[in-house]
Order: sequence, then C-alpha cells, then structure tokens
Amino acid sequence: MKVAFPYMGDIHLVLEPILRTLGADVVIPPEPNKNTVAIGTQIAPETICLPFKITLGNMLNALKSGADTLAYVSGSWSCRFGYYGRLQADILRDLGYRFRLIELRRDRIQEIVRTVVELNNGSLSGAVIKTLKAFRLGWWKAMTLEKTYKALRETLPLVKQPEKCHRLFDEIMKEITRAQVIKELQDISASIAHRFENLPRNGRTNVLKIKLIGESYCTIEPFINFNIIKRVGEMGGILEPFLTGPRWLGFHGFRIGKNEITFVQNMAKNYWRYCVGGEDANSVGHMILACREGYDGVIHIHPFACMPSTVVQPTLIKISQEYDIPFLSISVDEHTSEAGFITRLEAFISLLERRRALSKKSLTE
Amino acid sequence: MRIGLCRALHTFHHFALWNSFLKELGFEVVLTPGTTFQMVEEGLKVAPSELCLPVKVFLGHITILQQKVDAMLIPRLVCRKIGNDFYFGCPKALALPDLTRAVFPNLNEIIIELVIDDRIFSETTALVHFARKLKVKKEDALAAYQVAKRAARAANELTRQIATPMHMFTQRSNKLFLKHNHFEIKIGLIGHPYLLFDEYLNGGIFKFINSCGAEPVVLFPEEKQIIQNALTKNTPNWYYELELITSARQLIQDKTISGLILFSNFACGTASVVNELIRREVASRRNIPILTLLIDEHTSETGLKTRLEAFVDLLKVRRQK
Repeated sequence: MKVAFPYMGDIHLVLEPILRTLGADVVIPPEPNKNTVAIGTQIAPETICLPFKITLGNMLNALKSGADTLAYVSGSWSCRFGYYGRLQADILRDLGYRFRLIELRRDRIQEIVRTVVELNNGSLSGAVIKTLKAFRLGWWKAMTLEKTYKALRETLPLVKQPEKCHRLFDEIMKEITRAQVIKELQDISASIAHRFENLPRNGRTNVLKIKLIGESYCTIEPFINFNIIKRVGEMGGILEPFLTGPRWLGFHGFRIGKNEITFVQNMAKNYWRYCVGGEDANSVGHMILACREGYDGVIHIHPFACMPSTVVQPTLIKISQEYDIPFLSISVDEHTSEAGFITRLEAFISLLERRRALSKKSLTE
Repeated sequence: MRIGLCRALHTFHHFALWNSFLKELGFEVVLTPGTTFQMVEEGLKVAPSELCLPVKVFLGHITILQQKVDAMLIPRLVCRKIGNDFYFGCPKALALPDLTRAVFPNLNEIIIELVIDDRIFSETTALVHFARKLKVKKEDALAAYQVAKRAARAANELTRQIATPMHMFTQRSNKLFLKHNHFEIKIGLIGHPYLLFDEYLNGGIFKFINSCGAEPVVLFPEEKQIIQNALTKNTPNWYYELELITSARQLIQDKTISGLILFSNFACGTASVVNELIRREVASRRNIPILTLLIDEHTSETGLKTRLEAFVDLLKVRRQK
C-alpha cells in the first residue's frame, strides 16, 4: 500500500514516520508550485476555494508518482472541506486513475483500524504496539518542529543577515527529516535555542508582535501565503500564527490539545456562538487573545470566497474596532500576485511601526 | 408585539410554519415586501464584498425591517436529521444571527434566534425555546406548534401542486409562472427557492424562458424522495442542497425535459460542489444539455436573456435532429 496525503506545510514530516512505522509506504507529492495550481485549476470546479485546487493538483502529482491510496481528513460538516475527499476522488477517477480512498472521519474509525491491522498481517496486538510507537515518534517530531518554528520567528527580526537564519532553519529541518529515533530528536531539540543564539545580531530592540489568523491551509502552507511568516520576520516583526502544521494535526486529527480549543472558543462566545468550520471560532478567539496580550496588529488570511471566513469577517472588523487594534484581511486566489501581496503587507507593517512610535511619544510626554 | 420576518433565505422554506406559529400565539407578524433595488443597495453597503448575494439581500431586508418591529426572528439552521444522518446548513445559514449582530450592533436587543439543531433537540423544542424568549408558556407554544404544523403541511402540499412557494406570501403571484402555452421544449430549473422565486433576484427568468418559446419546469421533491436520496452514497452534507439534488435526479428521469438550467449566484459556496455533482450525474446518466447561470448584483437582464435565447436555440436544433 502506497499512501499519499495532501501536502500542507510540514505535516508530511510528522505523518510520514507515523505511517511508515505503521507499515505503509508513503508517497510524498512534490511541494506545491505554480504548475500544481495550473493543473488543479484546470480540473477543479470553477468557483471552489483555492486550497481545493492546490490539493487536487497535489494529489494528481502523487498518483503520477505511484501512489495507490489517498488519505484525507474529512467529515460531515457545513464547510466545503468536509467534502474535499469525495469530490477530489470523483474528479481523479474520471481522469482514469484507480486508487483507494481512505477518509479519516469519526464514523469510519472501524475501517481505519481494520486497515492498520491489515498492514500488520492481521495481528491486533502487533498493530497496537506499532501504533503507540508510531505516535510517540510523531509526537516528538511535532514538538521539535514547533520549537524550530518558534526559534525562527523570534530570531529572524533580530539577526544581521536573515539568509544565515534561513540556512540554519533549513539545516535543522533536514536533520529532523533524517532523524529516525526519539533520542536524535531530543538532541536536536536541545540544541536549537543555542544554535539560533549564535547568529550575529543587528541590535534591534523594538520588535513588532503580530498575530496571524485565518483559514488553516492559508495559515500553514507557505506557498499559498507567500511565506508570510518569514517575510514579516525580515521586515522586523514577529508574526505569530495561531496554527502550525503539527498543531493542526494535534488539534484536529487526534485532538490532543483540546483544552486550548475549548479555552479559545469560550473566549469567542460573545461574538461567535457556533463554530461553522474553517477555523472561524478559533480565529475570533485568538484575535481577542491577541488584543488582550497586547499584540500590535492582526492579519487575517483566507482563500477567496471561503464560506466561513467571509461570514466571520464582519465580526473580526467589529472586534478590531472595539479593541482598537489594526486589522488586515487578505483573501488569496490563483490570480493573487506576490508583488501586490507584499505591498499590502509592507504598508501594514509601516502603519504598525508609526502607531508604536506615536504611542511611545505620548507615553514620554 | 410586532415580530419581523425577512422575505429572504429560509423564509421561503418555512414561512407557513413560522407565520402561523407566531400568529397563533397572538403576535403581529411583519413581513418585509419583496426585494427592491434599494434593499440590494443597502445590503451591499453594510456587507463584506465576498458574501453571497442572498445574504447581502437579507441584510438589506433587515435595514428595512429594523424601524418597524419590536423583535426579529432570525433562524440559525444548524442541522436537520434525515434518515439516520445529519444534514447541515451552509456556514452562512449557521452563522446568520452572529453575522447580523456584527453588522448591526444596535439590533443586539431585538434579534431573537430560532436555533434548529436536530442533534440536540427536535423542531418542537426549538420553537418552544424560541417562544420562551418571548415569555410564552410552554403549553401555549406546544398547542400553537400543532396548528402551525398543520398549516405548514397544507402549504407544502400546495407548493408541490403549483410549483412555487410564492402562495405562502401572497395568493396572486402564482399566475406569473403558470402560463402553460404547451411549448414543445421544457427546461428544468434547479435553484434555491430564495433565488429562483425572488421576483427581483431572478431577473424575470420565467418570463424570459417563456418568451424564448420554452416552458420552465420546477420540481419540489417530497420528503420521502429526499430521504431516499439521502441514503445514496454520493450526496453532500448540506440540507437544502439535498433538495436540489433530488429535484435534479427527478428532472433527469423525466423524458420530456430537454434541457436543465442550474440557477445559482456567484460565490455561493455550496453551488460549486453541488453543480459539479449534478453535472457529473447528468453527463453519466442522460445526455442532456445543461446551462449554469450565475447571477450577482451586477447581472444585467440583457446578458441573461442572450444566454437563455442561445440555450433555447441549441435545444431546438437538437430536437430537430
């Protein structure tokens, strides 16, 4: 069995070792690029959201490189995301590909368990032991990744040469990919802070803090958001995403961090009583959290015509007025140009800088 | 006490039930008049640009309604149970009260939610909860529900006979759609009632189809058929879209139908999936031409008519062959 799943940020670094330990072969499709978008746009329904098109092109590439099983997180819910798996499978089957579709949803758990047991030649106890082992490795990979992201975000605005910082980040990513046992990951994890500290500093002390909220795919995948976290880092601000790849897995796939979800959604209760999907309640909650924690601004990023994000927009604007916090909402589709995107980002950052300078002045006066 | 209802979105489905429920309890029901140009303009002013047209129109209706009423009924259709499965409303239907509150902060006091969520409670309980917020006793609400239920059933029956839900609002507007001139060409129309039967939003599509020399056919599937279709494997998880799929499946089986029109609006999230699904099914089952009409606030009558004429011409040519 050769499993493939849609590419999203770095989740393949966590999922690949898990699936491999469980006994499946994994096909990792190539990173999304302009070509992926072009293929996806051609065969997808016209007015569907951009993540659908990109992941569709991605899965097509995976099938071309020999995958015979596609795995999707799915479910019956009001957002179109719940329907991705089935519709994409329909489209790909019409193109003549033959494969097996595994939907990871709550009412299909039996099927998933059966597949895992099948991979272990029908031994249930073997499957349980392997699963525990797999998830322990996945957990450590996720934690190390989280720590690396955090170090990158916090160091990037402070270093003299950002290229060196990026190189170090890539290096650590390669090490994490290579690591096979938990001991190695623990060693990497322990050395991260030290390695980032060694980079030469530029002497900046006044760093902007910005929160990134929005739809999960746009927040996580650097291709679709034009590497927004690194960009803002180079411009001199820390962009704190409310969601990263590993956390998305923990939140939604296996619900490890449920406490944080309930906490954040309770915070959103006054403005947003029902969760409709597409990270709306989490976005609202994290925005309020950002206001209370004294962030300088909030960036909301979502695909064009994303159903939950468009409904939640007025609420976000209302919060930004009530808490008096600058708010930038960017919607992306396949025609969004990098230059336009970056211009808006730069304008927003310079607005935040001016605001900060002004408030400092008024404090000293 | 005057309670307001917008002639938009869910009201096209549930007006008979809500109206008779509220009237039975002794409230005065204020229904907004049909959509006008001004309402659409007002809606466009307050709504974010990426929202779909029906919701913008709904917000436009609220600007009209807000001066006239003491309370507003705004539905939150979370999910309905069909067969053994749960079917959800689209995100806009789910978040409608939150959206309205965010757009009109001054209406916070008078918006009263009607939450329909079959996972937690039944429709009866939903209406009783709603009545509680208006300080109505439980027994009274239950009695009113029985009457309303009967009215709704009668209205649904009538809808199926004359193929338009407009009779719920007025008795006169039915005639518009019922000019049976016995045209040779019949075109099946598939679309949400709040779009298809809103006389402003549909841009006079029924009239146009008639003037091109074809007869529009609209089907309202019965509940039994909807349940049956819910059981098949390839259905989306949305409640109202199940209705569209069912009527599409029935229209495909009708041999006298020579073409289908999918009538929806730009940026309707569910349409991108459902239209694709219907098109796939039509392509695989019956070789029948299909026209997708996406309208938005900028759609012109001329553009609409040109496309319809071309489509009818195509059907005529196919028929001669």
